[in-house]
Amino acid sequence: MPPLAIIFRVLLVPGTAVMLALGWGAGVAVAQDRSLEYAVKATYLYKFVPFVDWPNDMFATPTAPFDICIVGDSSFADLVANGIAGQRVEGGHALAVRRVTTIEQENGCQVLFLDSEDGAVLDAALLAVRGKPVLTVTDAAPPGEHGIVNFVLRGDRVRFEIDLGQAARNGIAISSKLLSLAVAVQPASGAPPR
Amino acid sequence: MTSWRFTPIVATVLAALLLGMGFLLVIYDEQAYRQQQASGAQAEARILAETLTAALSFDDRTAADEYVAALQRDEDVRAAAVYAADGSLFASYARDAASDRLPPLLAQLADLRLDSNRVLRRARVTQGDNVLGTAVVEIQINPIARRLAGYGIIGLMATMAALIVIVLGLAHGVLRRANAELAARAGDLARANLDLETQIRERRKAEEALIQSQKMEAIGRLTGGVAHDFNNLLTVVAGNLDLIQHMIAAPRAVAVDRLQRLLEGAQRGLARGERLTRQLLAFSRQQPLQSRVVDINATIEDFAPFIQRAMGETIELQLKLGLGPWTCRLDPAQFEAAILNLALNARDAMEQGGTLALSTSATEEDVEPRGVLVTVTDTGTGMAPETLERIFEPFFTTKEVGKGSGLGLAQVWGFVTQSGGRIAVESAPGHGTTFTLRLPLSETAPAVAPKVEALAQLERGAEMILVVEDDDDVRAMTAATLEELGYRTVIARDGGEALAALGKDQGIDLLFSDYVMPGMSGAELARAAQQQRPALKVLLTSGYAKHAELRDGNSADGFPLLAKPYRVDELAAKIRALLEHPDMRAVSSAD
Repeated sequence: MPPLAIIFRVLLVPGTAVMLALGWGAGVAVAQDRSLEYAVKATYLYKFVPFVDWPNDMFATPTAPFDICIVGDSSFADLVANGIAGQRVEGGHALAVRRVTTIEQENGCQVLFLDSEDGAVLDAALLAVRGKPVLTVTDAAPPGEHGIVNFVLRGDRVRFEIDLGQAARNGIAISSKLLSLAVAVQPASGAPPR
Repeated sequence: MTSWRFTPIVATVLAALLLGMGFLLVIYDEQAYRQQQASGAQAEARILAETLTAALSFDDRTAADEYVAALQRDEDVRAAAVYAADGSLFASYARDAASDRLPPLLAQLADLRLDSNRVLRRARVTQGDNVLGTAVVEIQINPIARRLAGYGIIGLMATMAALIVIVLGLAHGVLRRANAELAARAGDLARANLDLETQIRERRKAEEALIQSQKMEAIGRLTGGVAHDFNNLLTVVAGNLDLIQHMIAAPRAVAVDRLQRLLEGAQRGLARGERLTRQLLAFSRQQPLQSRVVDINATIEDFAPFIQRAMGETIELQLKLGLGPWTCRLDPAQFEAAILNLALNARDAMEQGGTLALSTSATEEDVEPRGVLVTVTDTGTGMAPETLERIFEPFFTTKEVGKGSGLGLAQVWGFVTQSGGRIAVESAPGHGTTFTLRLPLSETAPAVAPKVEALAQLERGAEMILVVEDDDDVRAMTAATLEELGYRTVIARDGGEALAALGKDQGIDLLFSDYVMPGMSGAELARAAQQQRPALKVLLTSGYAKHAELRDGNSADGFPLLAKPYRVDELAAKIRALLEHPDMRAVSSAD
C-alpha cells in the first residue's frame, strides 16, 4: 500500500533571489570555478524538494523541521543555509540545514547530500538510510556508489542523474518533470519489491 | 387560386430565409471555431506551463526549448514562448518567419498587434504559490481554408434549397398562367357553344320555314287540280239542287224517293268538298318538326284521296300496300309532303295520263336493319341519266321558270335522310320513273289518335240560342238548322247587335258566335256577354286553320270552339253537351 503522497512545496522566492545574486539566473554559462559550481548544486539541492513525493507520515510532529543534511564541507552547508533561509515546505515545516558527520538510521534527515568521493563512506551512508524516506544526493560519485540523485557535469553545466530503483526502495517518488531534466534515469525495474 | 397568388413571393422569401440561415450558420460556425481555437490555445499554454515547471526551476533552457519546440506538432501553433519570472524570454519557438517570433520581454506582448487570424493565450508557470514564469502560445486561425472546405457544403445545400424553392415558385407561376389560359379557353368554348345553340335554333326555324314554304309550293301546284275538283263537286251539288228546285216548282207527282236520291247526291258532293278543304287545311297547317311513330300503310291510306285528287282525272292511282303493319319513327307531315312531291312530279311527267302506283313492301329478310320500302312509280316520260344524277340537288329543276322551285325532291331527300333512311331512283326515257324510299322500322307501336264515332241520332233541344254571324247565308242556314233541331233562335249580325239582343231577351240560354267578325271578335263578345249574364253558355266557331289546330276544343281564350266546316250532328252534340253540363265552360270538341 503506497503512502499517501504529500507534495512538499518550498517557498523559493528568496532562493531565486540568491540565484540572481550569484549571476546565472539570466542564462550565463556556469563558470569554471568551483564556488559557482557548488552554489548551483546548493540551489538544486533544495529545489529538488517540490519534485519529490514524500510519505505523509514522515514527520514526528507538525512543527518538526524539514532537514537537509550535508555530509562534508561546512562552506557548502553555509551556501545551502543561505538559500533556504526562512523557507517552508507545504505543511508549514521549515527548511533546515544540518551538517552531519556520522550517518545513522534515525537521524531524521529528508535530504542527505554526500559530498564525498570515498566509496566506503558513500556505501555506508547509502546503506544506512536504505528503506527510509530519504532523498540521497551524491556529487560525481563513482559508478555503483550513486545516490538517488547524482550530480554530473555536462559541458559547462551542472546536470544530474536519477536512480528510480533506489528512490523506490526508499519509498519516495520522483516527479516526471524532474526526470525529464535528468541526463540519465536508472529505471526501477530491477529493484526488489519492498 | 387566390390563396396561391402570393406563392412566388413566398418562395422568394423562403429562399432568402434559407440563404440567410445558411449565412448565419456559417457565421456561428466561424465564431465557434474561433472560440475553439482560442480555448485550444489556452489549453496548450496551460500544458506548456505545467511541463515547464522543472525546466524553469532548474534554469534548463535546453529542456525548455525542447518543450516549446514540441508544439510544432500542432500545425495551428504559429509561435510559443516561455518567459521567466522576471519577464525575460526563456525559450521560444516560431513556425516560420521571424515576424512570428514573440517579443523578448513579457511586457511587450501587450504591444503586439494581432490580426483576426491569430489568437494569443498565456498561462503562468507556478509551483505552489510561486510564479516561476509565463508560457505563451499563439495559434493561427485559418479561415479561408475552412470556409472553402467546411462552408462549401452549407453554402451548396442552402443554394440548392433556394434554387428548388425558386424553381417551385416559377413552376407555380407557369401553372397559374396555364390555368388562366385554360379558363379563358373554357370561356371561349362556352361562348362558341352558345353561338352554336343559337345557330341551331335559327337553322331549325329556317328548316321549319323551308318545309312550310315547300308545302305551300305543293299547294300552289295543286291549285289547278283542286279548283277542278271543286268545280266538279259544285256542279254535282248545283245540278242536284237545280233538279230539286225544278221538281218543286212544277208540282206534279213528286216521287219522294227521287227527291231523296237527288238530295243524297248533293250531300255526297258536299261531303267530298268538306274532306278536301279539311285535308288542304291539315296539310298547309304550320307545325313544328315532330317525329313520332306512325303506321306507314295507314298514313298512305289516309292520304291517298288527297293524292288522287291532286292527280286529276287522267291519272289512275293504284295503291299496292303490302302486309304490314310497318311502323316508323318520322314526321308524318314531312312524310306526306314527300309522297305528295313525288306524286306531283309523276303527274307532271304524265301530261297525257297514266298510272301512279304507291306501294309498300318489307325489305329483304337478310338485310339489317329491317325497314319498309315505299315506292312511287309512274308511267311517265322518264329521265335521262344526266338528269337523274342531279335531281336531288336543291334548285335543280327541269321545269320552266315559275312552274317549279326545284326544292321538291330536295325536301324528299332531306326527309329520308333525317329519318335515317335512303332513297333510290330508277328511270329511263320513255319507261317511267320509280322512286324507292327505304325507311327504318321502329319497334314502338304507333300512337293511335282516338276517333269519335259520329252520332247517328241528332240530339235535339228547346232552349233559346243567340246566333251571331256576319255572313247572311251562313247565319240563315245556321238558324234554320238549329230550329230544325227544335231550338228557338235569335239572330244578330255582329257583337253590338248581339249584346243588345241579350239585354232585351232574358230567355237566351246559349251564345253561338263566329270567331272572326268585323268589329268585336267572337271572344270579345263572349266575355262581354258573360259579364252581363254569367250563366250564359258560349260556343264559338271558326274556319281558320290556326283555330282548327286546337285539339282540346277550346279557343286560346278558353271558350268552347267548333271548327268549320262542321256537320249538323257535331253541332247538335256540342250544343247539347254545353246546355246539359252547367258547370262546364269547356267541353271536348266532337272532332
